[in-house]
Amino acid sequence: MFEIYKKHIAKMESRISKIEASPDPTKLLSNKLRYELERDKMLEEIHAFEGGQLIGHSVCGIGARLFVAMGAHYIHPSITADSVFSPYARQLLDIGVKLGFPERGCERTILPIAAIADKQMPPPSFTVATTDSCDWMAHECEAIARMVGCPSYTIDTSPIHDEKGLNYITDQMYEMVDYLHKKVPGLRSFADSEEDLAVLQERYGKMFGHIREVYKFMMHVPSPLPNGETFRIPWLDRLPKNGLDKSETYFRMFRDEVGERVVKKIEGVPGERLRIMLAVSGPFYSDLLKYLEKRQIAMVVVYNGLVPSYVGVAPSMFDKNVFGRKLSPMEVEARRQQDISWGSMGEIWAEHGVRLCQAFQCDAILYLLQSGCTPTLGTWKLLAEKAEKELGIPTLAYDGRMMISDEYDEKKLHDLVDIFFEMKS
Amino acid sequence: MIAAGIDIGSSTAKSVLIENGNVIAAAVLPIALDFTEAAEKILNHSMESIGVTKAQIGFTVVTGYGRRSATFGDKIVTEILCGATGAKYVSSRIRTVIDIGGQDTKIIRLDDSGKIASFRMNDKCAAGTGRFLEVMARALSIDIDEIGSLAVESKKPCQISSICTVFAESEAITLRAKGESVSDVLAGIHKSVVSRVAAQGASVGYQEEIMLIGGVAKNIAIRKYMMEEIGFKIHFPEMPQVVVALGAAVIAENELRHKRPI
Repeated sequence: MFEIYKKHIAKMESRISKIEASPDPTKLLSNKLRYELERDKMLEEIHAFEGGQLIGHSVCGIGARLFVAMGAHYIHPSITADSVFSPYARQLLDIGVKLGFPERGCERTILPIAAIADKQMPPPSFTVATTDSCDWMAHECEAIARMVGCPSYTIDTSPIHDEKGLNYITDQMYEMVDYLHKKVPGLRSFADSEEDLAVLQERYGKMFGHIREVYKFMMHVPSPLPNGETFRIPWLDRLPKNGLDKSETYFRMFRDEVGERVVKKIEGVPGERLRIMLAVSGPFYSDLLKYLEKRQIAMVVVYNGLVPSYVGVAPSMFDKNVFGRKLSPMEVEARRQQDISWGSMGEIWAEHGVRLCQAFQCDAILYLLQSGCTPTLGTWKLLAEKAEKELGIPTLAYDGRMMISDEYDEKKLHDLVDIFFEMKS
Repeated sequence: MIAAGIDIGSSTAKSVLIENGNVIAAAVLPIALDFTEAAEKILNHSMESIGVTKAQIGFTVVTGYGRRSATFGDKIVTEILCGATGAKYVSSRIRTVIDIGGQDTKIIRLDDSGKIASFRMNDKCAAGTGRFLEVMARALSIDIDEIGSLAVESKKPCQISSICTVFAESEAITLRAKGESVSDVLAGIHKSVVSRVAAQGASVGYQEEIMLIGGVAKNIAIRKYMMEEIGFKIHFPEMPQVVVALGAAVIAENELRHKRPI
């Protein structure tokens, strides 16, 4: 059971030992803490399952604080898939296909379902699904709940980022916590959890602030980080429940290190000549990031639904003073959910993407049209057209799979990078 | 010193030699399976045609699908840049380049300074490429070099509804079996190619002046229907299939002139 988890933990241990034995001063020393947090999180999940503790699965991120405040552990299945399951993607997708999922569906939503079925990931005691920008992720947690037979609640997200939309989500969240409190023995009521939630939000808000500073540093020219480190600038959805002290230390140290690199004018990509934004992620198996570096192209930001808030292009998800008043802890979580919606016609996705390119002084967008990703396959054109019209920058679209390397066309991806390089030279 | 441009495509290899800004040799040869051999062969062919040796070649730029297979060459450049450069050499007023090749189609838009502003490539689907025409010619038992002239004789082009080459082939055979004339069927086939390419171009945006390059540009039916479809006048260079190699040679000559480090 959990063989893949254990292999990943061993990998983290090995990295930690390597840094302890001979730290490389050219690399981020904070990575040691990062690997420790990753290891601790996974051990925590295994122990929680073995100890019969409550585990909530959700892909909307609110679980990181809300579930924890209510006494459960939190797992974000898709982010876990990104970090842990990519090397085993083919094996897990085959299991997913046997379960009835399509071969060419979204890997990061099918893989966790297959992983649970194959006893590679702790199953949930309950799940919460949300209808935000991604219809695959909306159904992922519903599918997991149906498979394991646990309670599940789906929150409908408003695509409009106004107060009415916030109220719509908040009302459902109150209903959700009541429902789960009744259905999941041992889960605290919201009334008993609200104060703890507020404390968690404070702590997360500080870490969020550190990440925001890191992104500000990344706006500098030249980029202070190599492409590989930029690609994995961490989020807040995968921290160990009992590791917040270490988490806070890590984000502070990470911020300080990146800041120092800016002050010392360290070039993350030696000889940086061009800068690009990567949307939305992957392909994980490719040498894309290294190839870009070979062409002296710095990938300075990865665009996904949350980054605008992290960067400051969208309001901070931990702002308490919004719409002219102070938000309650539940409303703060509801806003986090509202953030992921891309707008009714994808206009928010296009707008934020262009603002990011502007903030990071990008010369182009490199867009992975992930096979099976229905949201981005439609919205990429909106972003591409807006970026060309407003900033005069091209979008290099590459279609492929995020984690499955079977059909990887290295030549095609390299060609795209080469063409861009020539265009700008 | 002579500058050489080699374009190793999927079905043909092309080369152009330039000296002092003038084209002194140009050649096209079919490719078997070995790109490396094809690159050597086309360069040798060009050199032999005007009696020069490798020692007289000062800089070589290699481009095309098989560009990484060449064992010689001073610089590798993509077809997009070479196509744009070659088109501009033919006419500096060109702002849109449509390149219909054997297996892919490219649309390149240039800005007013002649730099590439935008591009689109279709390299996944045979429809809209020379391969589509080859398949149809074979299905109808007509020489590929004759299909264009037969198509323009059509008075009532057939509608080919299938987008996919495989299904379109069946459709064309069925139309012939029903008694439709070969000209009308061929006209429908050519219009099908043109509409695919035109749609791709529309996503980039047409800006005059427009040039059609690539081997398929020799086809008179493609020329006719393309102009009708997009509603703009189109330039057709004398040897459309070597324009990319020409661009590679121009880039090579620039490198020679500026003596840039490799």
